[in-house]
Amino acid sequence: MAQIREIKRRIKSINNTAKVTHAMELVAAAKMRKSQEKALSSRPYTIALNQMISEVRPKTHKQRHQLLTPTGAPSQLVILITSDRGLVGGLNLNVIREAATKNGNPVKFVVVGKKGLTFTVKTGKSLLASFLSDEQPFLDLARTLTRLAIGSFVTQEVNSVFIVYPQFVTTIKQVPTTIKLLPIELEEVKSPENGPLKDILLFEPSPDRILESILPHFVLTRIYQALLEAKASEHSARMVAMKNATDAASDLVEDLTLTYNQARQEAITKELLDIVTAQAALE
Amino acid sequence: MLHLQIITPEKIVFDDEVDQVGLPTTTGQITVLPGHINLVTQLEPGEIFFEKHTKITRLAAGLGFAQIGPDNVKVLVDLAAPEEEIEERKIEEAKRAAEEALKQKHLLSEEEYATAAANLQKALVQLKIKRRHRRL
Repeated sequence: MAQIREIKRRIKSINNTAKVTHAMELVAAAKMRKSQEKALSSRPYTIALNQMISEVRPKTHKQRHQLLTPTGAPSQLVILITSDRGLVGGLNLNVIREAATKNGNPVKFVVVGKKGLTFTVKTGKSLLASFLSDEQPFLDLARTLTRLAIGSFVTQEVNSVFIVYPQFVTTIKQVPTTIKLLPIELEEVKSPENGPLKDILLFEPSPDRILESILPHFVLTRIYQALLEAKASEHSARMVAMKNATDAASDLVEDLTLTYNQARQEAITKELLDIVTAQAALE
Repeated sequence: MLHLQIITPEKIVFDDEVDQVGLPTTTGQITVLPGHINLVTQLEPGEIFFEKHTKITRLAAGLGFAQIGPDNVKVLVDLAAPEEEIEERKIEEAKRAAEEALKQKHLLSEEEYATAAANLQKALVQLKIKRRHRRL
């Protein structure tokens, strides 16, 4: 009898857990849809800006902007984007592992999200600044990060700035990605030929001024996009993790119900046997 | 025909062929016709308009950049609201908030001040476009 009660209690507690994980799954799913939409809809802008700069850059080769030139500083800066909360499967772990491969040069960290903060503190990395990812609107956060990145790059504290974040691919797939933010490196884009006019390019007000304003904006856009991607990844990963947990719980309940029924059956049989034996003894 | 693309961080606002485009650049309002020389320019908050089959559409635009080629115009801005989408009440509120922020100038960092000023400028542009149309 004791065993039956034990099993019953476990079924009950697992059911409760399943209820919680199921609720979290639903919440994550709702947030996921919103954040995925955001991340995907801002991609064209980022890509278009990228294209624009790649096309503009070769035509301004005379101007060496300071954001394009590597500096001689010994260390590098890594902006690590993680989530504030756990229960997201291996998402944070993967991103942190990706960031930890940056060895060699001394690395300074700027982290977004509590999970990244715990990592840097525990492993004794040098931490420059940390932010919570839900604390302020992404655009503000991206602005602060941009200023921080450009500031420490221009003052030659670091020789390069990287950003590490989970790139959102699909709901079940997020790839930890490293992007070099500074110095800005652009892949040469082969643009479609537009006739002889292609070689002539006017700038208004002037190439210097355009570069001066477009390059920081470019860095900002990239950071902003990374933050959005990270958010979309986080919610997706959490939804999948919670779905797995709910599924595992219902599997477990099924198994336990079977065991419970067996035990109950056994107890009934035993009781019957007792009654029958008692009756037989009386006759 | 010009291929005009207007892209904001939120979405692709417009992507189609048009006859001509007007852009508010930092050096003044320009109008782009097909066959324009390659040009890269910076935009300031103002009004973007484009004409297609003699029908003019106006958008309130924020800060951004434009890349112009002989047969295409690519506009990247942080705001591009068609007239119909501008909600006056909301804009009024944004304007008030921005003005409020600007009043407390001494409390703001340089960055916050710039943001507030940009917000105010954008709000004003949107209001201007909305109101002018109503008078007609």
